[in-house]
Amino acid sequence: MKNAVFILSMLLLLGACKEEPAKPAEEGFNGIRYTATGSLGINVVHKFNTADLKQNTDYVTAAGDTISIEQLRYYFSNVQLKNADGIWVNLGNYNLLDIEDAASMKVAITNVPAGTYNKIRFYIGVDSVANSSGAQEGALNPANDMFWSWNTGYIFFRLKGKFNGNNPLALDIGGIANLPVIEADLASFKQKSNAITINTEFNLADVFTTPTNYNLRTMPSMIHSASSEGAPVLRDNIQSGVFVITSVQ
Amino acid sequence: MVLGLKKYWLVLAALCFLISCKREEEQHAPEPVVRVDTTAVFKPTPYSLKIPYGFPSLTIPANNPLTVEGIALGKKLFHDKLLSVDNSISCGSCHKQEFSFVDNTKFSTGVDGKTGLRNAMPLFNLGWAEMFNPTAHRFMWDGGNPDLENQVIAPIQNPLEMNQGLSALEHKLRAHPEYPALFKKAFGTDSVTIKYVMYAIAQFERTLISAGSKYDKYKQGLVELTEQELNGLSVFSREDKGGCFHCHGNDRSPFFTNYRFHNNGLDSIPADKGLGAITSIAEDDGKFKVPSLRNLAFTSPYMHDGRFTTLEEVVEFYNSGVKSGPTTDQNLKTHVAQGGLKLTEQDKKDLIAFLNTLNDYEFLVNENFK
Repeated sequence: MKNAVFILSMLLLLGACKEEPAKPAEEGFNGIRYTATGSLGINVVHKFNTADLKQNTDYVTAAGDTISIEQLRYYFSNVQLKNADGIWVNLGNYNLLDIEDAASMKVAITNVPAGTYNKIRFYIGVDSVANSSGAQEGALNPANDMFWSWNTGYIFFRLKGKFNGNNPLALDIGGIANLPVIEADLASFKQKSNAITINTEFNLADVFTTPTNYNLRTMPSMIHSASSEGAPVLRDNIQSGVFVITSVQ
Repeated sequence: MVLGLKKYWLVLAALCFLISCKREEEQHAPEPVVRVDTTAVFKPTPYSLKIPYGFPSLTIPANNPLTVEGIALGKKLFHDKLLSVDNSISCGSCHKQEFSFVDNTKFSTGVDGKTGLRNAMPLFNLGWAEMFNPTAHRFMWDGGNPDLENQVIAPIQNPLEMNQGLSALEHKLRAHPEYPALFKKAFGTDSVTIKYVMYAIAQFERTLISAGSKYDKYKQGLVELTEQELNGLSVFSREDKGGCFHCHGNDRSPFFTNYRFHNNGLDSIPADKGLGAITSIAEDDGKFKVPSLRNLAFTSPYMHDGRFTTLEEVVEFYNSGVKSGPTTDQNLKTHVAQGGLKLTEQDKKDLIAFLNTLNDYEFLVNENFK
């Protein structure tokens, strides 16, 4: 809920300072509308607060730690849209996003059924069924090095770098209990098209705050298993506010 | 040269056909590969596993049916040192057929002379784990893997074992003179991926069935057990004697394991959390996979940490050495509370005589596994 409120207020803010209005809003429905089977693109731009996120650059977290990152990779899967009847339509779709691979930051989904959708949901990670088998290809190939073979399951989210000087930072979030589920409201966008693109921002600063300031001097800075006490804290932080929809076109 | 109208249409139709074929291909094989024969039909030969007398039927995963080509590929991979980072060891280096697919050391040696942290497990009758263990924790001493397919890559990646990165392994296999064609024959794939390494080795492992012991022949009425061996079976089966059947099955089960996880009370506070480290559940601390009692003559030392060398030590441990800790198995605790099993010297000898009827010497020389 908190998440939705946050995103909604961001949307209001964004709406207020938008320079030019997009296409005139369609009346009579809330959300995005497909009149026939269509496509959905989700673009992700990575930020640290207002700055564009770059590797090997110092950023200061809410808890006051200076971090720099070498690697940021995460699964983006199970994109779901909620239709006017309140039913979630799961479009499946497993993607591995990697800030070193620009192409990976454009998620492409085909075969979106006709309908009006007012919410979107997706996982930063994979669902429990996919999580229980590494015998898969493509984004889910365990050779992508995002898989724990000693305790079968995917690494949903990986951040590697340094903090407060040369201290190693390695946060591997995995385990189905630690799966971040992102949900956002689409009601205010009112777009009718069969090829819709949702532009989002991923704010790394938010991984370290909201609801909990993650202090790397007191909390684990090396997470390599699902049982780490840091994992659920980071899961909650990722769930609330890390992703923000900036526009729909 | 001008083509007649009819011919022109034929060419066009052929082109359309080619394009549609190509699209399908691209979906299956994203990597650019040269495909020699686009029309070749992928038809591996189904393999029907012989289920031994007294064994329940074996459920094979629908997405990885046994085939002659898949099993042969799995066997080749299993015995290939290419699966380790420096091409120095294969799965078979520690899982030797002469010891029922294990070695005779406490901790096996991986690449660079590194040694593992637990005793290697023998490999036989693995396919029935799913039938008896409904949890997602079925393989390895700690239950870290839910099925054979997933188990395959754990030792390959483990830095103390083969230490082989999976992406690098894909490249090694793709560059190999034989493997691309063998993966194609077994799975119809144009691109060797880890998925099919997992599939192939799991297929081979499902064929490792051990059912040729004296006890198996006794159950078929082909041989008699001696009086001592029969008394040992009685010690095994009686609650007021060994009570072994709780975890190791009973005289109606051919597996001599329940395929589950228990804390057998080796230590009051387990140094190695076992299943507990995987599930993060305190009640699972100190629980390890119950090994089968088949082929014990070949699989010394015993326990997850290889602490016992002889069956005499093992039997004496259950007789008088079990420690009651917070997660120790309740059946064992009951005996501890009664002051141990109180087996006579004769009972212990008889029990070991019975356990030795479970050794399958035919399994060690089965040509199909070499």
